[in-house]
Parts: sequence; C-alpha cells; structure tokens
Amino acid sequence: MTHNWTSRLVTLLAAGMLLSAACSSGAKSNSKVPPAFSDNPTTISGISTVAPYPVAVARSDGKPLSIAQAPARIVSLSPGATEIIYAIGAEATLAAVDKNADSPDAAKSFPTKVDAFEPNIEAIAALKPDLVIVASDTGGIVAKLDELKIPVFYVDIDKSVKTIDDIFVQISLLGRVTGKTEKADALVASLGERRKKVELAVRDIVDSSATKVYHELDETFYSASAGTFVGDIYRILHMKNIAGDGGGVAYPQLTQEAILAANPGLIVLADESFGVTVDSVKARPGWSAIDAVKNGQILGVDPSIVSRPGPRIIDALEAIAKGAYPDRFK
Amino acid sequence: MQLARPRATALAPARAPALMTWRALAPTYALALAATVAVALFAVSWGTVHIAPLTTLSILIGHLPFVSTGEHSATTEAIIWQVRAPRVLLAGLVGATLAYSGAAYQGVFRNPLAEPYLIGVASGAAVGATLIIISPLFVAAWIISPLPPAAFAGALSAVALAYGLARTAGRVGTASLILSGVAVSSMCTSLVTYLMLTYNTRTLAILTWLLGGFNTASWQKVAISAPYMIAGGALILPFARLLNVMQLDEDEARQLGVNVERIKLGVLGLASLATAAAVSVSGLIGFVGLIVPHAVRMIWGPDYRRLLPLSACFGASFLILADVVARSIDPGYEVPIGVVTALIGAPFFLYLLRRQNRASEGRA
Repeated sequence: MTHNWTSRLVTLLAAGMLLSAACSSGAKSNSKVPPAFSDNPTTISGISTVAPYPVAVARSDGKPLSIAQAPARIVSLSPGATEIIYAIGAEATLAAVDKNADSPDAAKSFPTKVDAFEPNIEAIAALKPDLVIVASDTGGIVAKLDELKIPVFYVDIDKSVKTIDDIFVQISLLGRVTGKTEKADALVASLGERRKKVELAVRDIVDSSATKVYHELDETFYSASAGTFVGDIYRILHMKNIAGDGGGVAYPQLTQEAILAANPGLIVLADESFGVTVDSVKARPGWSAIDAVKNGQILGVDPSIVSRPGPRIIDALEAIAKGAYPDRFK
Repeated sequence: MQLARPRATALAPARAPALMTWRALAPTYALALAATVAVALFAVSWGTVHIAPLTTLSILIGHLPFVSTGEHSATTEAIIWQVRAPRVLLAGLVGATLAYSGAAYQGVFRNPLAEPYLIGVASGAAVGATLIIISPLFVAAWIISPLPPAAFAGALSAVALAYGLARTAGRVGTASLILSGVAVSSMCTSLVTYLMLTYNTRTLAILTWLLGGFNTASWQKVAISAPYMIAGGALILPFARLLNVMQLDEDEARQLGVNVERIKLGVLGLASLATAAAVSVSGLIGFVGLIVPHAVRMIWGPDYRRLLPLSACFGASFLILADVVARSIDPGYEVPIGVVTALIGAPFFLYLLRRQNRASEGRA
C-alpha cells in the first residue's frame, strides 16, 4: 500500500509545483538570457527599439518558440506570469488563468479558470488559445500542446527563474510577447530602482557581521536555498541563508537540529497562512536557544508575495529589509 | 509457516510448562532490549552537529530525577534533549510498533504479505491528516496539534469500516477482511489524491506527512502516542501462544478449543490501535512492518513468544538507524526515511532470503 502511495505521490512531487523539492539543475544563471540583459536590468532601453515581431523565446526544454504576432487569447497556467501580465497592462490578451492565481483581485475573480496542477488538455484546447504559458511541465502538458500545434511559452520556474533578475527578464519577455514592451520596461526600471534603494541602504554590511537567516516555507522546515529567487533576497540583503545551497535542492527540508545549530538571528515565516505564527515558533521545544527567538527577530511575510516570481517580489524584498533593519529603512 | 505440531497440541491444558518457557525466554528478551538501548544511545550522540558522547550522556543523565550534571550550552542542551532524544525515542517506538504489529497481522492472516497497513490503518490515517492539513483548523499555533488525533481517528475509522464490512454472521473471514480492507484503502487513497490535487497549495505539506519521518518529533508527540504503542505491545504478547496455534488450520485451532474470532478481534484491534498511534505521529513509513518480522523469523524461528518481542526490538533498532542515515546522508538536510528503510532494508532482507534458501537446498 505504501509503495502505491509513494510511487504515485513521488510522481506528483516530481511533476513539480513551485516548492518542488525535486532535482534542480546546477546552472547558476539563466544561460538563455543575454548577459547584458540580466546584469543590468534597470537599463534595458535597448530592447524597445527592437522590431516588435516575431519575438523569439528560448523555452526551458531548449526548443525554440517564435511568436509571429501579438497573441489575443493567452491561457496562463502560471500565477506569476498572470500577475506580470496584469502589471504590464496586457490583461486584455488573457483567455483564462490558472485557478491559483490570486493577485491582482481581477485575476482572482477571472471568469475562466484552468487547473495548472492537473492541466486538462481538452479544456485548454477548447479555449482556442494562441499562446499557453506554462511554468511547470505537469503531466507532459508541454508535449501535448506541441502536438496540437498550440504555441507554448514554457519557462520552468525552478530551472529558469533563480534570481530577481530572472524575474525582471520574465517581465521584459512577456512585455515583448504581448506587445507591451514599453510598459514592461518601465515596470522593470521602477522595480530595479526600488531594489537599488535597498541595496544602497545595506551596502556597508560586511560578511563578518551578516545576519544569519532561516526562511521557513512550512512547519516541517522546508526552506529556500541560495539558488532560488527567494534566496536572492537574502543575497541582496547581505544575509547568510542557513539553507546554503540546499545540497543541490532548490527548496530543501532542513533538519531541526541544523536550524538550532546554525542559530539564525532572523527567522522569516512564509507559512503564516498555514497557521504558523511568531508565538508558535517561540513555543517550539528547544527553539528558545535560538538568537532570533530570544531577540524577537521573527518576521511574517505574505507567502503569495515572497513565493511567486512576479513584480511583488520587490515588495517582499522591502518588507524583509524593513523588518530586519528597521533603523536603515525609515 | 511450518510449526511443530506436538507443541501446539500440548498447549490447551498444561499451564506450568508454558510458564517455564516464558521464563526461559527472559535472557533473550533482556539481550535484545539491551542491544536496542545501545543503538538508541548511539543515535542520540550521533548527528550533524558534533557533540561528544560524554556530553550527550551527561545531558541525558542530568534529566533523570534528583541528578544534576552541571550546566551545558543552551544550544547543545536543546539539540540533545529537545530534538534528538524525542526523535530517537519516537523512531524506536514507531519501529517497534510497526514490526510487532506486522508480526501480529501476519499471524492472524497467516499470510506472509500481511503488514500493518493491510486493512486500512495507513490510508485512513492519511484521510484524517489530509483533512486537517487542508482545513482552516490547521493551526500550528495550537498547543496540541490536531493533526495526530485526526490521523488516529481516521486510521481507526477505516479499520472499523473494513472490519464491519467483512463481518457476516458473527464471523470475520480473513480473506473477506483483506478484501474489504483493500477496498476501503483504495477508497481512502483516491480521496486523499483528490483532496491533494484540489487543495494544491498544501500538496507539499500532505506529501511530507505521507512520506513520513521524525524531523518534527517532540516530547509531546512521544507523550500522546507512547501509551498506545507500549500498551499494544504488552497486551498482544499474551496472545503469542494462541497465535502459534492459529498457524495450524483455523478449523483445527477451533477444534483445539481456541476462540479464533476473539483472537482475531483482540490481536487485530490491538495492533491496529498501536499502528494508528504510530502512524499519527510519524506518517506512513513502509517496509518496516512487512520485512522486520520476516527477518526475525528467518534468524530466530517462528515461535510468536520470541517473534513478537524480538520484532519489536529489531524494528526499533532498524528504524532508529534508518533515521540516523536519513539525517546524515546530506548533513543538515532531510532525506525521506521511507527511502532509507527500503534502500537499506531490501538488500539485507534479500541476503537473509538467499541464505535461507541455500540452507534449505543444502538439506534437501
């Protein structure tokens, strides 16, 4: 019986959701992105002068995608992409969003929804999309869409969106795909500006005085490694992420012992919506020995902001920066 | 399961010789228990964070009543006493429970493939746990987490349902019990799968629970589950002789004056109760309940008076060591313990199996 469970569920796990603890490739940065692009995302004005169509997209599976004209019926299976599309004012192109899309409110109440976790190819095809955005190739959906000759914008979050720069790249790309290049560039510029402000405020922090941080994804001690866009927040803030490189796993499960031994000075809770609270963390047996608990340095952050590769990641960066260094951000 | 018949027929009337036999078994029990304790002590002193065995021992002894062994750093103290000690103890209790329950199930069903999850404990517990995880009730802030009680209730409901469905005219045939158990299990399994897909923001939490493990072990979990696991083992042991008799044909056992139905209900009830408690605090850990009793049988023979307690000790040591491996493969990170139990357990079991086969061929 257990074997049934395990095999069936492991397949699901591997099929991958955002927090999937499944394998992650070793590549540090997104090789499909021109270096100038990812190194300096605040000055991408060069992009807007590029002839709008066709737009070439490098998919996560290595296959090319060329979009000949502005899509008008996009089915977005990625809550992050949906958020970006709204933020760049391209929501008129949406035909359906995934049922976990919860931001902005208009996406939450979008009339047509599809299930990204168990994508139904018939339901998607029936919507007659001219572009489907896929963030995780669940159940071989990409191959099925390819077979039906439906263009797939496939960017695997775990493989291809590992830094905040990568999120900026996604915004620019979706801008070009939907014909909202200028709006997207302006958004990236303003997000980059806000990030710059945070960077300037913490630039004098050196490694030796870096705060050790434990980022909690759920009550069984899953965390985000340095190789994720969540981990990128702590790199920007000059903090030492106790999850390290995750032993090669993007979202590893830490042992309780390792958390106690690392003695973090800051605990960030991305699991408040699952009932974990500052008080419940304080009440965990043995956790009173941790500096963050002793000094009340426990911070709750809305998981839908901090766990989603969309524009609000900068909100998360600012919230964590303010919570961690209140005197630097007034 | 070939059992010496004379011993079985001598069972019903004579009490005195049986008592002597129990006493003769005492040294074996003591030795097995001592080995288990040694394994547990090793596991407490072993971990990602290096803490000297003497410091470990000193901290453990310091928690005995009326003993003071001086001050230790708060972190070291917390790691040994709040993290490792309950973790090892819980792994030991769960391992013991799964193993003796597996032995008991195999005895009642007279089926080598029987294991403690056979008639719905695991899948029932999974439904209970899943419902709590997806419900707004899942408040980790609660002083007592509602998760273990819910899993426990789910496990017992599923077993009761399977038992009730299999019962006809006051009798429960083992074959129909297995079938109704399998049916109830698959019903529960599909329900969990459905819930997991529907509430997919909590999929990882459900999955983590299903895969099982001891990363969140605490004294509280030990306290709420240990009574069932210890009592279950203690109360099943007196059934050992009757289980021996039942290894004959059920009808023959009846002719010998054995109340087969009462044994079935008693042994399965106790084993299910204990397994439900184990599963509720550790999730679904496979392999232990199936393989450990067989390994013990291959080494020490099929007598249930030896099989039950030795399975418990062997299961405890096995799961404690598997957990040590699970937290040591990649220091600081967890590996699902079910993966470890299968990875270490399967080759060891196959080795025993081949050795036994070769031995019986040699005799032939």
